[in-house]
Amino acid sequence: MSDTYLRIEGLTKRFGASTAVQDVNLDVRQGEMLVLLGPSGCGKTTTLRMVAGFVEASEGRILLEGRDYAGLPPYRREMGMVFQSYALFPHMTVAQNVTFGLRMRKLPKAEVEARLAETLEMVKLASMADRYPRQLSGGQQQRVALARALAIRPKVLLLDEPLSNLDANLRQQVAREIRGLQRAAGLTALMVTHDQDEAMMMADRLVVMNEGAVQQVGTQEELYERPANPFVARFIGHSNLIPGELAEGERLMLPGGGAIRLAGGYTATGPCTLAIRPERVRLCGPEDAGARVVATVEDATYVGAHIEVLLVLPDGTRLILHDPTDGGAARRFAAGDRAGIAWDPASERLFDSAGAPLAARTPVPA
Amino acid sequence: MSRPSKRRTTGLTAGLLIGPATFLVMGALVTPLLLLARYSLNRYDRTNFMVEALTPENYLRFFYDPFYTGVLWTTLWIALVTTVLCLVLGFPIAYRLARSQSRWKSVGVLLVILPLFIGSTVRALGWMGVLGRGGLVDSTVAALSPGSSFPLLYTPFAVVVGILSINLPYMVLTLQSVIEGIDARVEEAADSLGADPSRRFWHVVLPLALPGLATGGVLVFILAMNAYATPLLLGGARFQMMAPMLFREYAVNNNWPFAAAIAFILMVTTLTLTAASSAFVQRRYKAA
Repeated sequence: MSDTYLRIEGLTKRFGASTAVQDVNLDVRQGEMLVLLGPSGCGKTTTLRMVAGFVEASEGRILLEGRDYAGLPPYRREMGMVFQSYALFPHMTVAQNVTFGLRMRKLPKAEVEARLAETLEMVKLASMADRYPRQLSGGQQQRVALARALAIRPKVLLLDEPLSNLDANLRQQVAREIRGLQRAAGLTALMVTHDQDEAMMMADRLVVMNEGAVQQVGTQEELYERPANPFVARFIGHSNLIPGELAEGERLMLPGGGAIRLAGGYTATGPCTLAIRPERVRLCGPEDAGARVVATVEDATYVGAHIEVLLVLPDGTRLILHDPTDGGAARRFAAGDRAGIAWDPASERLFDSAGAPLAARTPVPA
Repeated sequence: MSRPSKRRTTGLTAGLLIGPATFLVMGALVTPLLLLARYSLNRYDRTNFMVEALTPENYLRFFYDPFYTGVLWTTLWIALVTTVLCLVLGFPIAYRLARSQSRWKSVGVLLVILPLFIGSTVRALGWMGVLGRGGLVDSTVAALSPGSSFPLLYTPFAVVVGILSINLPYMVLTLQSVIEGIDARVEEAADSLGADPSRRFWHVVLPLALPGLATGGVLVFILAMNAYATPLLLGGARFQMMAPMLFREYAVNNNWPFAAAIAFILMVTTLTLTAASSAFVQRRYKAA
């Protein structure tokens, strides 16, 4: 790709016998926010720390504007890092924290002052310049950490779980602020999070990681609509995964008995996994012609936007589905009811035993 | 149970818990000190030894005799030198131990603590074997250039080495716990902001470790000021420090009043310098 700014090539990290990061390849474009997303221990933080230079890569290259950064110590990398714990200097005021990087660069005093004023203005902390970190709230500390990283005008902004120490009601607001600042400054940013909503809200593109390896790279819509494997399907949007045996191209035989009428026709046969999203199905009567499978309602909880319905398939597989609340009280399901589950071909994802998506033979109607 | 009676019970329990310690402190610390203070104002007499009096002459004798003030100076500079050396040598070890994530860390800590299991007298004897005439250093020098000898025993150097080896573990352990309290991410933050290792040390690690350096320094300084066995065994007959001199006045010369005065001078000097240094560090820390 011609507009690649930061390129990560074959990045691998081994700790003794275990591999924390396995052959990660990423291209980050200038001004883009790329979010590494995955469960804890998936290698996302280690990847970020290798880019920052805190962890030495076992293999691979980190190329910034074509220059290999792998051998450089962190203090020569010009990457601004925002830590999960903020890691502010407790013995320095807000102003001293923010100007630390500038003073280390021995910038002229006037320039330091100008950038301090400008940066504090950006994060709306101008009135806090003489406070110590312990005198600030969590949200304010977070903004100091951001300001400190932005002040050095970093080549890449690195964000390690920047929102996880904030109150839930503050998170969305701070996420938007960070995104706004990053966009306004045209900064290339790499962020790590385990929180899907956070990632969806902040990213230009996402990288889903699991067990040290990249599972899929793409926009929010690509990951949601076309997950590359069952892991991504479940991690992004909580798909229900139903293992079974593909028979006659259009029936999924459940291992414990029973079958699901698939929406698309498939050429493959053999073991595979069906992924369906909770919000992409309709519940109907068990005799309804559209029902692809009939299940027993085990529990139904009204949560506002929808009713969360827990269903059990004939073979014992449990599913969580969302029944819209605007359907009227007349057709609500209660524990013990039998319900048909229906969905469109476009909402159906089938993966083969290796985890690769299977294409439907019959063209999927738009 | 009603509220007042409950409060009375907890008050009683607290009293019972604090009681023994209070009694111990009063009985074992304050009373002997008061007694010593009283002794130091008594008069010494060759035939009657201690005579009841209220005189400052023991203190005056100490400060007017250059021999005794000389001993105080020697004690002070030996204590200062060993404290500074302890800080300089102890910090890298403590830092390494504190930041280590290796499974050998506990072995390292054990190696630091291990010398504390051996008393200072025994260790001084060990140093005599290393530094003395015909000892390890001397015989090595003699073997390399025959005819020459290099006895280091009975020099201030031997005393400094001896005290250093005893005090270093205290310093390392104190500093280690303080450095472990400094978030490693803070150092990484400095690193990513462009501070090379030396500037990271001066601007971030050192200021944050300063309270620990002060605590360790005070601890080691007090130990050095009061060192007894080490200067006695490694310093030789002509080398004098306060604690051995105090003991000689007390046990050999039977001059209890003068010994008591020396004890007070030593204690007050140590306390004054300790208080001054912590006040200085506290002000520095607040200002930083």
